[in-house]
Amino acid sequence: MADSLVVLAVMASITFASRLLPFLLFSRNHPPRWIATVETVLPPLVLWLLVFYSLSSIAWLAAPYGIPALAGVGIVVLVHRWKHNSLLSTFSGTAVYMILTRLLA
Amino acid sequence: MENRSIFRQATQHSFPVLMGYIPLGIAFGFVAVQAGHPWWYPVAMSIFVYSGATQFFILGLSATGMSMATAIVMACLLNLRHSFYGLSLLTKFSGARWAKPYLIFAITDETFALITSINEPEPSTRTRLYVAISLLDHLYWVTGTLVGGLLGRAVPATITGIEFSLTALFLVLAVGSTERIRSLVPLAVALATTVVGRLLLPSSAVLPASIAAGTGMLLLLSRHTDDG
Repeated sequence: MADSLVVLAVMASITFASRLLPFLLFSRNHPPRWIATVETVLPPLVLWLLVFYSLSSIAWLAAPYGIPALAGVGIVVLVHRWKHNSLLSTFSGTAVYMILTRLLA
Repeated sequence: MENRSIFRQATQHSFPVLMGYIPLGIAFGFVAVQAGHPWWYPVAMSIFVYSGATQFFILGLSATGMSMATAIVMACLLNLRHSFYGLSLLTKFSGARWAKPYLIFAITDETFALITSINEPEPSTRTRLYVAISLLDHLYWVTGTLVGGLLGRAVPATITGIEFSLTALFLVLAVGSTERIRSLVPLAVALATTVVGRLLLPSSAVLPASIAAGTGMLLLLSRHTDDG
């Protein structure tokens, strides 16, 4: 138990330090100009990276060959471009994924 | 603007995160308790660590018996993306004063995505809106974890596939931000760096490495466009 509390404290500190770092580095002196470019290009890049990263642990070469995930992604993009309703897109994509996972298992 | 109307706005903005954090929080609390932890341990993690990736990583730690030194290095890599998020939030959080430590503590993938994608609020209400969004997101995550932890003691696992809601949430936010900037370049760069990273690197290094490489590539591309 003491061990798991130490792990919790260490991991909480590392996580907070990673969040604090840029604010410590750039609070007094203005950040360099390339930071401005980073601010515009970073959000879409990071979001796509999170999408691909969360998909990359799928076993593409074994049954069901990532079909539920591909179908889920397709549904999310289609429904979102159609209705622009985050909730509806998230729900319908997840539902299709869950149903296909069970059907193809 | 009144605090009540700020709170209403924050509730609306954070609704997709609610739909993502409650099921994922439930999944996390559930798995943690099934792995042998007491119900309050995942809840304490969700309050004090407040990072899904790191928290799942901690569960993995106790399962594999990895050394503390290795665990610390891996956790730093895993968390590197938070530092990149902070760069995008320097100006947004600049006037936050008393609330700044909490806003910085509460930076997550989803809260970062929300704060950078909503229309810039007027300066007088900005900090209060960001605090409200951050607190709500934190509350959703802790609530989900608590429910999952309690369920984990009572019910055997039946729901499979709910984890896809996180991918779906990222995807919805990514499609939205791509429609705003009208460029598929970040998508292409992200796909390329993830594929290359997956082939060359251990999985814990893929996300931080591809964020660094992808940001570098986009900076070079934008400089090239400025010149021409």
